[in-house]
Amino acid sequence: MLSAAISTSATEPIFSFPCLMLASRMRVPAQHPANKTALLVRNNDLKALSHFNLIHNLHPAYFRNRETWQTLEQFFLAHTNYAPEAKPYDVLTVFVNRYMPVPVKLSDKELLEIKPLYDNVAGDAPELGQKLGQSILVDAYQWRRGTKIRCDATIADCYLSHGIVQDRASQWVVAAGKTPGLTWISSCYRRVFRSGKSKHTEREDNSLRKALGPRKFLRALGAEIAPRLVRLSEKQSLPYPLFVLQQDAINKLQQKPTHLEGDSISPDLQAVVDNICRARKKAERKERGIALFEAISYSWDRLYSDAVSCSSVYYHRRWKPAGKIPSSWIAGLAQQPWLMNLKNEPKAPKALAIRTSATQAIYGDAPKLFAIGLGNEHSSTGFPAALKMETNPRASSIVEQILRMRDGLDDFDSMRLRQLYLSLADMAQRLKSHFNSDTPVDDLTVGRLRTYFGEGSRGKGLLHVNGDWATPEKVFWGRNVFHGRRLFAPTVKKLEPLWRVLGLQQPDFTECIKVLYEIAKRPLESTDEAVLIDTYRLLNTLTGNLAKSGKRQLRELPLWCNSRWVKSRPVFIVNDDHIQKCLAQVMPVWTPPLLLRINAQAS
Amino acid sequence: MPKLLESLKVKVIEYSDLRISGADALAERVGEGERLCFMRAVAALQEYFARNDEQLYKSIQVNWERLKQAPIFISEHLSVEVAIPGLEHVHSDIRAHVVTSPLTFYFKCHADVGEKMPVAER
Repeated sequence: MLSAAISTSATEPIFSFPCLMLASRMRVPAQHPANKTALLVRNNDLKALSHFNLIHNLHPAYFRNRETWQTLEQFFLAHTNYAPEAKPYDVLTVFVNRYMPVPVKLSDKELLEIKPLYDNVAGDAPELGQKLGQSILVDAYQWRRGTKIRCDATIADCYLSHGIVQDRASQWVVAAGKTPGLTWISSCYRRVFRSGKSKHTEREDNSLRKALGPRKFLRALGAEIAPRLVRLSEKQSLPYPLFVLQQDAINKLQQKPTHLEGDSISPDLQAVVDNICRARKKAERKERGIALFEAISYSWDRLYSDAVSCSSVYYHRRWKPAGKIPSSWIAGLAQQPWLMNLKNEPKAPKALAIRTSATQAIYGDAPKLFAIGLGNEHSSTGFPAALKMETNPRASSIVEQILRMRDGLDDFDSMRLRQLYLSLADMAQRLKSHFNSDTPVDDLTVGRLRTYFGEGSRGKGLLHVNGDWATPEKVFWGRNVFHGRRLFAPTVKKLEPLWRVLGLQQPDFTECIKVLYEIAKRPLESTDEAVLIDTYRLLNTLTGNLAKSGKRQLRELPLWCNSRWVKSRPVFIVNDDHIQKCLAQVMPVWTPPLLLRINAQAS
Repeated sequence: MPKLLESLKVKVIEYSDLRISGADALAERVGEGERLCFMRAVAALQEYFARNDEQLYKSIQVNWERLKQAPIFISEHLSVEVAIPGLEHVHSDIRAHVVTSPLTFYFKCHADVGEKMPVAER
């Protein structure tokens, strides 16, 4: 009959009436593939979740006549919820279709049956995991007035409790404390999933896939370890009163917006922040504040980094963009006093700085400014910047500090100055090897930085070398071969990127010649020996590709012969003091520093 | 630093530019007469370095035995002549001189050969 209906295209009753005979002699209607709540199969080898009756075996009578079955199967495959055999993905899809509208509470045994099915498809179908999490109710709890209240909740609505997550992933649990309104998945599931733990799951293609641990499984099903954001799809009128960060951003816009588009809020986060701010014990407040910071930092890239700002819009004949402003969740978070400073005073993040080597160099010891418990490792994500916390200072701010030190507005502190240079060098380090004066260095450009370092109100630069301030043109970097006859920047590897950006020169041929001529202005002294050794050595490396003028300069370079400087040639050198003295009476014999004499002879 | 010396137009006076005067057959015979004293002096030096400075002891470029057997010339007329083409020859009186290739020692008098004696023979 079914075959006849298909051949005459009178198939609609198949979906309306229970006309498909199952192996159990039950009759069911066919289902369209898109909204199948049961799976029709010819063979079912899967035993998992059998009592949910998700898989319907067709009656063997359908397969007796091969030709008829071919027609039927073609139709089933194209238009119904039929599959030749039950596969994990199909079974889970059927489960989700049936139970997502009204989630079902699963026993521990049923959870242990469903997990291997998901292990089999995990990674290939992440959206299925989220839907599965919305279809399954589990044991959960909430805090109300300090008491744990048990309840059922879908996995996708829960946060992972302390028994299931540990270490950095558990910071949200610490931060939330006993905040009412948040739903936590019962920690008993750690034990449940551990008891059914198998290291590997066999996949459909008989390959083995590593089974997910309890935490990963529940996370895949939507349980969270950090506060969820709620993206508002509709345009929302501006919050009233406006958050400070949003007001600041709007003040800078040319057109004043009336609405926000794509804004995000976080009721759970707001509840926790309110709860932290109400905490009476400072120690608890401090611990939870730091934990909240770490919880959001830990999941920053995954959950928050692309929800930091939203569009502000206004209506003039049509909706027009006014500009980007901070999202409500981060703007609210930035202005509530849920962190503490080093004096244990509650402070809003935007009024605080993270204590790093750079911020310490700028602000010195500022216990009211630095957030307690936060350091270098907390400044690596975009979270502190989004909160408008001072982290690593901007280049302009560093230059300002050096200017103040040079102009005597701040006390001179060589260690602090070194840190400031190091901070700038760190920014310069990120530049590509080829840069020009327009290349940005943080909030300045290479050109601006050179201008700041090159001049000052007193005609001095910003490089502090040998106890004085100098401009980059007067300072060399690299090995100090001129021993006090020229200024050399500190030879610290980490500072080299800054010297390159500032355009500091390394000692070159011309400078070597200049220095040697300076020395030749008066009789040689023993103090000149070190300069001569290093300068001649450097010259030796620079003589490879000299121009004609350079070669001429060397030919006329004054050499110390017979206690006087000699520019003419020939000049001789001999590695024997006695012979040298004899020869010196009749010809110019060069007496270079002892070290060079030995090298010259050895060569 | 050959490149620098060449660029500076400085002429290096090599040992090959030096000629020893007064080192004749008589000087060689006289020198051989001091062989024992010379060998003892070298042996004393060898022993000293072996005991006190192993690195220096091993860093000798000619071996100790070859050093002991090196030809010795002793002549009161010993002098060195520096012969550079295009320049007048310069004579210089010297008390001692060493040529490394072949290894040869020149001395003005017996006292310059060496005076260190092993302790047992003093």
